[in-house]
Amino acid sequence: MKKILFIYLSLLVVSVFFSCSQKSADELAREQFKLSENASVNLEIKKLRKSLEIAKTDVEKADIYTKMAVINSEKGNVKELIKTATEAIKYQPNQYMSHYLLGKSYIAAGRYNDAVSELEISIDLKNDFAPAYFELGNAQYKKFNYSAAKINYKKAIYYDKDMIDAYNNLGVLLTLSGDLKGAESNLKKCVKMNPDYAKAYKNLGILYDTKMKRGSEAVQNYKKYLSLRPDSPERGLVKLWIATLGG
Amino acid sequence: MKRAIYTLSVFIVLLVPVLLLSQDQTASQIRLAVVSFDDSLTAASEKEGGGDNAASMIEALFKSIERFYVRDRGAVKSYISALEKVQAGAMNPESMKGDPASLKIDYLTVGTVSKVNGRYEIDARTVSVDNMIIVHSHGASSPSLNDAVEDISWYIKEKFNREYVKERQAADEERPTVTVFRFRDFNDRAGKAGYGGSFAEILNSQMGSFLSISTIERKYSKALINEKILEMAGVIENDESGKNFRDRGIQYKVEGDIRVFSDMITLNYRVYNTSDNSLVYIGSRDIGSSKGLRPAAWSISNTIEDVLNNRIGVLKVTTVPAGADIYIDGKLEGKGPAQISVMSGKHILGVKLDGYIPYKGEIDIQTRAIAEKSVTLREVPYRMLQNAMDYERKKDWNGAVKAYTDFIKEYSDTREADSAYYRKGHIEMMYLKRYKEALATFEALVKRYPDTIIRAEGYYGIMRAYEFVGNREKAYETRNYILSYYGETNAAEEAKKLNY
Repeated sequence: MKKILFIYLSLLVVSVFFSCSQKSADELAREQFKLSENASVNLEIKKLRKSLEIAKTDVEKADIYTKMAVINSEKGNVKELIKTATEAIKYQPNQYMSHYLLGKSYIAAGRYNDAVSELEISIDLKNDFAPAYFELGNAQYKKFNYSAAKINYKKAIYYDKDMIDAYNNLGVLLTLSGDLKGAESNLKKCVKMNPDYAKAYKNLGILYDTKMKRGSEAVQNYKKYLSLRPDSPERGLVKLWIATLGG
Repeated sequence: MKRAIYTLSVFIVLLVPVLLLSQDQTASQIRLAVVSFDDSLTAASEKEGGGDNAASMIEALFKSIERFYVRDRGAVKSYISALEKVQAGAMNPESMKGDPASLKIDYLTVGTVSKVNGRYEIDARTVSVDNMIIVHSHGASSPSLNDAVEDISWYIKEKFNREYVKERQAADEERPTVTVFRFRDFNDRAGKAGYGGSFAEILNSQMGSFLSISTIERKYSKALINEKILEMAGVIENDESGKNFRDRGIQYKVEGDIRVFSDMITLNYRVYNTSDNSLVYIGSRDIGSSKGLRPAAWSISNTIEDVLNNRIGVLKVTTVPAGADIYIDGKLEGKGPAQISVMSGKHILGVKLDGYIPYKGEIDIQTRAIAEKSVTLREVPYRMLQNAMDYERKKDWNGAVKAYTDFIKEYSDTREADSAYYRKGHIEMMYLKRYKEALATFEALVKRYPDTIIRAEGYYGIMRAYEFVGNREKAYETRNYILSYYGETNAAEEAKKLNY
């Protein structure tokens, strides 16, 4: 028994040592910087601008510019996102996050080829980075390259089983390419993962309404969507669809 | 009998001028009908049902002003019903074009009532029946529906007259045509807040108030792309709406998204040219709360007006090789190839890439044209640097310094010039013993900050030069500076060796 306990403890020590030596928690936090749901965006940007003034090393500057790029990405400010991500890459060219953010910004700016190449660099630097596969899927979709888009959404899901947006996008893509069962299963997965994920109900409604001709299920999903998004910009439209289906 | 003929004659004599007068008056009047305002944008406004109320108040106002000829809503009911069917995608949009002769109206007043955070957002737009171009619009925000309508009424009374409409419709064909397509509620918070629908309406009204652009009423234009499959949400849209807009003479569409955070709301907007779906302009604006939606729409609409009148132009830059940094007036704007929005007029375009000679040149952004510029960068002539190094190998130090100086003079903007500065300073200090010149060279190198990437080495050169001229205090000060600011560099490791 003592021997087993000793082996177990030894294994634990070895595993802790290896996990620590791979990457420090700080390093991970810096790379995976994410704006929290309740973050004060203004305050965060002000803080980062201030810290940029006193940043000494290129690594510090790259880190700050990356964080600024994350915030600009959340805000959807494409011009600032391109600038900050480019600056981050200038100071530290091998940071996967900055290439990912720059790629994302290029999609929004309509530069899909540039987006693909930046996202591929990001994936080369970190080949299990699910968000980069997801955005690569989006870029391929915009280039009408549906098969490549599908592959990348699936890879995003493979590396992050909880990436609800990837299931949703895959569902939409499969609807457009005629794999209705696949579409239904992916969209249903979204609402199972998060019953408040409104857009999946709308997408399911459209799938049942226009493709599978299952009117009552369409109405049910449209209604659920409206209950979750009572002030959505297309509420009038969705209500009309419900009325047309006799709901 | 005679009496009857006499009475009839008198009646005709009196009636004809009255009829003529009334016809003349109608001809000079602005002939319109008011459509029930859409209150279904938000659940709160729909529950209250303020749309009919607002429309009735506006209709009553029009009726009370002599310059308007107002047809009752009931009289144009079938037309309005067709309009609604088209909006729902159930009827061909062509059928919406009215026949002014049978309708006896030239304009329709449409509007929306929404309720955002307890405040009413009301917008009223009068559009031409023929082409759905907005000829008059105004919107107002207020905690009271009556106050908001009152505000709109003032503008109708004071500003909406024949002359104004004439001015709006003069030379319509020369004005860019635009429509506000949609604003999506992007993040979760935005989805719950639901500002997208109201904001699109507000922006639509603001855009409709410009004389220099023709804004097509979005109720009409949105019907053109009413395909359910395109409403699937998630994947960034791949819609073909551009073609539909283009076929109906709408040259530009505006769309965007709204993102809500705990301390701000961000409004992102994009202007597309419908002829090729190309992005003409991209902008972003932050506001503190939903009260800022209308002022922000005003500011955004002004920017869009500038864009559409090409006060802001588009510059397409292609660089060879691709991936070079593009600067406009010294500000980094992206990597080539790129499409950049620039104020019209003259600017300095800069293109830089490591290993290549930077390009700098003047560009003229013209109105109503896309400026295209292709920049082919020349490689840095490494032969010149090679020559300098050959001099070094031969220990011809003066020859090497001259060769480096020539390179710096010619290619000062390149990264390679940093190395030339460093080698020059090093030779002056270590072999020619011209310490003051070396100091000047190293100082010139560090002043190239932030462009130079070898600033730590530059400071190290300064430290050594001070050491050689016997200024220990300055040498030590520079040493400490290197250790504080460039502690992780080789220069710092070397600097540590200086110990008095």
